[in-house]
Amino acid sequence: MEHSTPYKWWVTPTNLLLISAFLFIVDYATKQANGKPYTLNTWSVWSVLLIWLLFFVREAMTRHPHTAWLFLPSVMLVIALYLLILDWVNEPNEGPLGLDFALIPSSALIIFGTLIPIVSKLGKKEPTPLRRFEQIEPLAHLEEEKK
Amino acid sequence: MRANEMKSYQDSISRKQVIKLFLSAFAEPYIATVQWLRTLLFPFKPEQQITSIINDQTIIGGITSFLSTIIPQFETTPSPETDSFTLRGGKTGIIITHGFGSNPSEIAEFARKLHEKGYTVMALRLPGHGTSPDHFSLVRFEDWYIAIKNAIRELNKETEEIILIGHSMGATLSLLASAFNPVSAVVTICAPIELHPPFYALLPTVSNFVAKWPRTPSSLKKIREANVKSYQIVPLNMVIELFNLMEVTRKFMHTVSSPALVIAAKNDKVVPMENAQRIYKTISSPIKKMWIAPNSTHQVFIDKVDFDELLDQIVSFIESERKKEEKLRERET
Repeated sequence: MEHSTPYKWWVTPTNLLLISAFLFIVDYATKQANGKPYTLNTWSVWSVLLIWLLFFVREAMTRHPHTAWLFLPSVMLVIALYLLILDWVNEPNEGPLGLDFALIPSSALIIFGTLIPIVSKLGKKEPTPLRRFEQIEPLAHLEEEKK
Repeated sequence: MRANEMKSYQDSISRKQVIKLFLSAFAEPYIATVQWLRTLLFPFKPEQQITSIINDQTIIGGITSFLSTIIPQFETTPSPETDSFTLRGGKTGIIITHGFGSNPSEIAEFARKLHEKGYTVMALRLPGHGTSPDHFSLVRFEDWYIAIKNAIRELNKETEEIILIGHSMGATLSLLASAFNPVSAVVTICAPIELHPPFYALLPTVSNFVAKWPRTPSSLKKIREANVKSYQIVPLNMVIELFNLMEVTRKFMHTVSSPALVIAAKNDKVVPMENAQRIYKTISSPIKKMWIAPNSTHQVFIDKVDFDELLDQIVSFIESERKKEEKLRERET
């Protein structure tokens, strides 16, 4: 009774693994060509990390319709944290590529994209079961009036 | 001979078609890759074509169609084993409703036994049941009520009287339906009216984050052994819907005036006996009876230890009610 996707469960992780491998190869090859040493703090590591983070968020949230509302806030949170970590790991370089400005977009993403929507969703008043029932059963109104 | 075969082969498949077949065979892995990328980014429903989204005239319509494709795919159609069925018989119609997370396969044998006694029997599948837990998590208790109301209306067209029989949540629903619909009698089996599970106060908040919860190992074992295809995991928001149904039923059950048979199970640890006693005391039915299944747990139809006795109790109740009604009619005439 699981999801009727046309692919077996291992297709997406395997293909993402292959894409990650390709990104590592490109990064390694260009570093070699330019005579630079390959370190873990490089663009391919960050790209692969983001791909897998988004994949896990997507897997966790879109498989259940009832918790699907958490999907976008979670993506926003993941991207915000990703930007923060990227900014924190790279030394200050006073430029947009080094993401010295990451605190502002990250806080905006977390506050407006994650926290405010979650607070609004959790704090929304739901109609009472009785009110809901009265909308589908007109006779329920009469019973209430009798009282 | 060979020339003829070649000719017929060439007649049936043109050279263009052969090239097309070859090309599609070559391209197949790449088409599959593109489709995989599409399902990765947007899990499209297989039957929905992207052109239908592009062709949508209005912007809002287009956005809605686009968003609808992001909804995860899950089973929304019941299998023949888990779907509703009707066994046509006499002029007395019986609607049997299953319990929470179950489906008509659990009550199928009981329905057949009732049909053998000469009744028209409908085993009703409630919305969200018998499909998938994800589908289940999207329905509300109003959907279940509308389903039983529609079933009463449908069966009323071909029978003279309707009797509602329900098990567990189906019994609570039958009780609520009998308060607002023309039914001749109602039989509730292990109906929950008020339960106090631990930590229930936290459930509305928790259910926003935790989608499903597995059933207890003992009930899982029973479900597997009985092969009734009930859900092995329960969407937590549906537990809240069950409690909403109980709340509404508590509010209106005093208006039930149809003859009622209230059945409880002695070894029921899910729905305590007090529930049956409360129903019995609260309903305004002039004719009411209570019976306790001596050996059963909550899963009366899976245990089958009191199966024959349960059947006898229900049939004798229905028949005695019918006799009483016939006498009343005779007096009136």
